[in-house]
Amino acid sequence: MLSSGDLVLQLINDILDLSKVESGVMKLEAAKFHPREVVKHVLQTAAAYLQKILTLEGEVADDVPIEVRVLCTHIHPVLCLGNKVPFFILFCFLELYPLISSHRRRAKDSANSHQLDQVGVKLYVVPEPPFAKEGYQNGSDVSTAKQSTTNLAKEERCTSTSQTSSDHKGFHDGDEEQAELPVTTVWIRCDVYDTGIGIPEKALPTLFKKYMQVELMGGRLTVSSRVNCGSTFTFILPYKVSLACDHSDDTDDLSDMADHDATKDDATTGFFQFQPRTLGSLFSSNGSSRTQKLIPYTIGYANSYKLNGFSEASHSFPMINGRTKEMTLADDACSVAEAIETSSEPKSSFSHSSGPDNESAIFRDKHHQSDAMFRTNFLPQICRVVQAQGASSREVSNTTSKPKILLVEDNKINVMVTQSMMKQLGHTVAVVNNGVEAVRAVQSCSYDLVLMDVYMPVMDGLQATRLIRSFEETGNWDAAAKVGIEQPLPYSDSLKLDCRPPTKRIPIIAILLVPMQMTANAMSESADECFANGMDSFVSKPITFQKLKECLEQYLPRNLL
Amino acid sequence: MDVLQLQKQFIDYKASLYNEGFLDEQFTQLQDLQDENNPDFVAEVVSLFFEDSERLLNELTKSLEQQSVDFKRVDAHVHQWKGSSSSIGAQRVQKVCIAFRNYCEEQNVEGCLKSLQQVKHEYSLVKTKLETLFKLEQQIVAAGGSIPM
Repeated sequence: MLSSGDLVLQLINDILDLSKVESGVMKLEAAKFHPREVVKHVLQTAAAYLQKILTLEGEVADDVPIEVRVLCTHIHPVLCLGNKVPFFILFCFLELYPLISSHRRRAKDSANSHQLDQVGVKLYVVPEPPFAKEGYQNGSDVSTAKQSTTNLAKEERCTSTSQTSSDHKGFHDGDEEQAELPVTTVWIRCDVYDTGIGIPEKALPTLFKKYMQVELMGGRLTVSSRVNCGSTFTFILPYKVSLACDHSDDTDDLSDMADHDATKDDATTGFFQFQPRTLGSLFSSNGSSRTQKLIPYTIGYANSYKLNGFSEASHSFPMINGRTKEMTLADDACSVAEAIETSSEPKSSFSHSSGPDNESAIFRDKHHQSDAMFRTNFLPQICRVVQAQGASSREVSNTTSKPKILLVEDNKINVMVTQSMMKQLGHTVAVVNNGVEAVRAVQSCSYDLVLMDVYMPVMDGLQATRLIRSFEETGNWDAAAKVGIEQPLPYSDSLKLDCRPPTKRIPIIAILLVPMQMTANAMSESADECFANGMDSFVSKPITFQKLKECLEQYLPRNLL
Repeated sequence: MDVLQLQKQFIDYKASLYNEGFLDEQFTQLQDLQDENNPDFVAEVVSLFFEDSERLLNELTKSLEQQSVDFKRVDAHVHQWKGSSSSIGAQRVQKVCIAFRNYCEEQNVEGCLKSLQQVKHEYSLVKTKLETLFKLEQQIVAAGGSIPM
């Protein structure tokens, strides 16, 4: 019998199915994003899990280009985050669904609602918002933007279930051909909405902190919620479209398709709908026979919240002294797990933590990642939190082995500080002082994580990473041998009993020294360089306890945390 | 001086170090790492920093005295110093290192020499201040009190 945590994990694994991605079924390139394919893929996968009593709907307006590239903002050192959209959508589903379910559970049954809840996603092009011109300033400066987005959101809510993009046809922007520019900017708005019970007022601020990252992407997030009508998460992000890329004018997109089996080309289809159906194996219980009804709240309200951007309009790297509060998903993860639990066999041992005392943000922009890496950062965090919630109801079957972490750093002080922080986190690290030693260490032992300083004597972190990746790709250490690092002894000769030769891709995290006045571009270039050489992410110096903690949480397999 | 006075002096002094930019939040991180298992952590890291800094200072002085300055080498040393000062929270030292690196990039000997003087100055300031801070701690402990966090 699956626990709630497992279900979410399955969902996530499906969406993240790397084999699918890598075989080209869904390409998540570092900078490009195919909105329709992605929306469809997310919905398809989510449908299997969330479709119990919901209609899932996705719609991509005609004027959204087939392919967009992410606009790296000039203010924040953000790298290629556009592909986070699908995960954002998914996360919104994960947020909305359990909230709907849990509210229903708590509310009394009402006989008069036959309306099916609907959860959906819409993507469409909008004109460049006012906040784009103003830069990233305090929320008060962009109240007009807020107004417009929430007004739009209100229009969508409380309308019929089959929402078409015709409401928004008025917006055309950005993809006008501008002959003199090689690339143009398109502002795409994404609404993730539900027509269900709506999100309670007090939950909204909590949810928002998680989406702070959207601000960094150069966009804006708003959520509006009206009880009984539902809620909408909206974010607006800028994307680049190359003019060579033509988008389909296929108006068939808007036809109501009852089945999700698209006969059209995924790239051009813009409308997807997944009707409720009785679920089979996944929710292995009696839950499916329960009718869930839309329950009105007695207290009515309509509120819209806007997430304020960073309070300083900073042009410098904001993360050196991490002051962001620690936040957990305790409430929400509980809801997710709880909600899924309600549809599976009833399980009792589930502690519902009450207060948002300690919350950890899902989105932490401390590690700037490219698209290809985001999938390994964002969702495992959800998984981890959900699993933590569900841990009490599962027997611990995982082997509790200690993770093997390698620290590659030549500065003694940094070594001392990092080691001490790791110790506080419950880990011991092996330390080597340059790239050559790092390669040798990896040759002889399988590490779960490598923290690699970039600038080191003898051999720098970039080259060491390239050599390690070369081994992972080719299965041999020829590249290392070429630069003078001898082949390792065969495994059987190794004296270390618990070391195995590397069998999988090791997460390699760069340790970057970020000067306080570094521009976003320079920052982005340094990070780009790391990624180009095969690194997965980076932490910036000075290394803090919090950064390390998040890094470990993101990159260590769950059972080793 | 009684314990309370000593403690107040300590708190004020420490606050001034932060306010004047000698120390930044990273130093707080170090303090957070100190516990019963690791009671002298901060003192250890700081003395390591002092040792390392003296070494780097020597290296830099030597390198910049050469007829033909090897800027790459100078830069490497400054980079190290920037890293270690940032790791312990010695903010002003770190800032000077940044300027220093810019001069290295420009291959500007004058600028480098100026920066060398500045970093030497800032380093000796923060060294003195940290030593004073530790002395205050010792006085508090000697008087039977506990060190305020």
